[in-house]
Amino acid sequence: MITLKVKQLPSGLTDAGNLQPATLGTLDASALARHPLGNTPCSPSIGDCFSIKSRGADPILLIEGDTHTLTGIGRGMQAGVLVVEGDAGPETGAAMRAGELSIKGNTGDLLGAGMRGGLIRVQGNTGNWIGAALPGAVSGMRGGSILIQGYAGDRVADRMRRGLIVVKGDTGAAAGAQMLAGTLVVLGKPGAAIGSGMRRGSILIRDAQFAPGAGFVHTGVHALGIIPLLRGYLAGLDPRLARALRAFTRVDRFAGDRGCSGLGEVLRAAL
Amino acid sequence: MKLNGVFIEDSFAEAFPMKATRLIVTAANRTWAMHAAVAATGFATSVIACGCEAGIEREMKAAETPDGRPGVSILLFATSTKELTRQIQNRVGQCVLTSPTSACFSGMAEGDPLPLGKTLRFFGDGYQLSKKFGKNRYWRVPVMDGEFLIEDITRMTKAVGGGNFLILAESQQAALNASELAVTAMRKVPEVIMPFPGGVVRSGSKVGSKYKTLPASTNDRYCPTLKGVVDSALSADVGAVLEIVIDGLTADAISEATRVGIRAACKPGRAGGILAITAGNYGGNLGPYHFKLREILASGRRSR
Repeated sequence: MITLKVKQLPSGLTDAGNLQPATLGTLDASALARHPLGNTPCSPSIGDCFSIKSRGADPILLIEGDTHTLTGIGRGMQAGVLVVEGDAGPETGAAMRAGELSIKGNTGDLLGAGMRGGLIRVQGNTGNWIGAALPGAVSGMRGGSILIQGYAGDRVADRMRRGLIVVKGDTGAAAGAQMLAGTLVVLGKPGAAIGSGMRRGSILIRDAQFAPGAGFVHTGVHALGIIPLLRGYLAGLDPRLARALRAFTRVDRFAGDRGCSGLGEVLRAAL
Repeated sequence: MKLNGVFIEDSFAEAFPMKATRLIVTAANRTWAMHAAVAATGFATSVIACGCEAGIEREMKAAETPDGRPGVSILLFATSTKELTRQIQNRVGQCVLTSPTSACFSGMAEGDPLPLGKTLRFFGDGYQLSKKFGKNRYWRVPVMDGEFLIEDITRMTKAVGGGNFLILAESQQAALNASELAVTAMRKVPEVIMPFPGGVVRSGSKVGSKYKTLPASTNDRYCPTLKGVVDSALSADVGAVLEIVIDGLTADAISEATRVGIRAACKPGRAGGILAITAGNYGGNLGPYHFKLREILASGRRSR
């Protein structure tokens, strides 16, 4: 396990895409200290920014301190466990492929954007565009799971292609906008324009007062077989969040967005 | 060797490699899960004319199934991957999809993938929806009672078909009693099915026939009414013979079912009209799996 404790970080946003447990775990102490923090030409070394403790060869990376100015922590991560004890900056876990990334504090925008696999847990709140498409990309996350215990900003799951996002708190506007597939669960209150422009995929809303936009048509109250499967899958990741899905035993199903293909759905927990 | 006075012949069952899969059929309650499972495993006694051999492995409690509803585990065996694929499509499509409240899942985590919902989803005519949780993909097909939920693929494994033993009894009733005892005991063994009606077959067959078009015909050496007419394998006091055929996911499972079944069949003993236990084989030259009755009974679990 490698422990990195914040010593001094550059002012302003700094790329930290090299903070990855599997890569850093192969380096000895001196090489680790010399290793660049990010992929930019003038990137500081890890030793410049952190005090380093290394013990054993387990692919576990623990980052202590406030790292909200570091972008791309765990970007493209392919294995191992990365734990950020404080806040993390934008693009944390972006394009992640496997492994587990756990953030004890808050994160910036584009958390898990374009991710293809693995698991991201956030104890605090997150910024905008969670699980969305990276700038220039056609679609958002294509696999993996993001579990957020706090609030999520605007456009969560924007253009999401596959995977699961669960937000225990509220969300900002346009959650699930332009979704292509995948599953978004909002256990708090959602913002406006939920699922606008969604083509496929499922958005589960626990708030019984929620009313979807004009692009959605009510198809009745149903007990869907897919919900227990989702609950079972989530139970393996977070049993407490899974228990919250009992609210969806019966759902009001709204199909939409009818402005697009209309094969998406908003499932509102039925009273 | 004798068991309860019943003679155990020094013979062996000759079995063959097959391809198999396990499916889990669930429904709103046990009754409807069983309706779907029974229908899906119907007309599947022998690959000779049914395309596959299939049967119910066991009932499953709600807590054991993927969707938390009562279910039934069924096993399907075929001689080729292509035929198994075809049988899955036909049987699930016509018997499970059609059954009210049903859902269908793969019952195997390992093995080569075979399409399940991957092709049946097209029944949804474009309104089918896909859901992927982790590595498992499911299809939601809109049907008249809601949605038919089906896993995208199932898994295929190498298996063994054609394990068997024959119960030689004084009368038809005695043979039937012993068979029922055997099948009841064998149904508790996991990973096996007895594909014939009630688990028992009365028309054991031999390979070939005097009629060129028939691939199999009656096993005349074991027909009590042909004693003296053919080179009968039956002694004068044998009045009826019943066979129990066993398909299993592993040779060990078939051995265990054979052991359990023979022991149960011998419970009535000689006094109950059970005379001997033997097994069907082709001289050992055709099938690679040999289940030697005496070895299995002596050692508990053993094959080949």
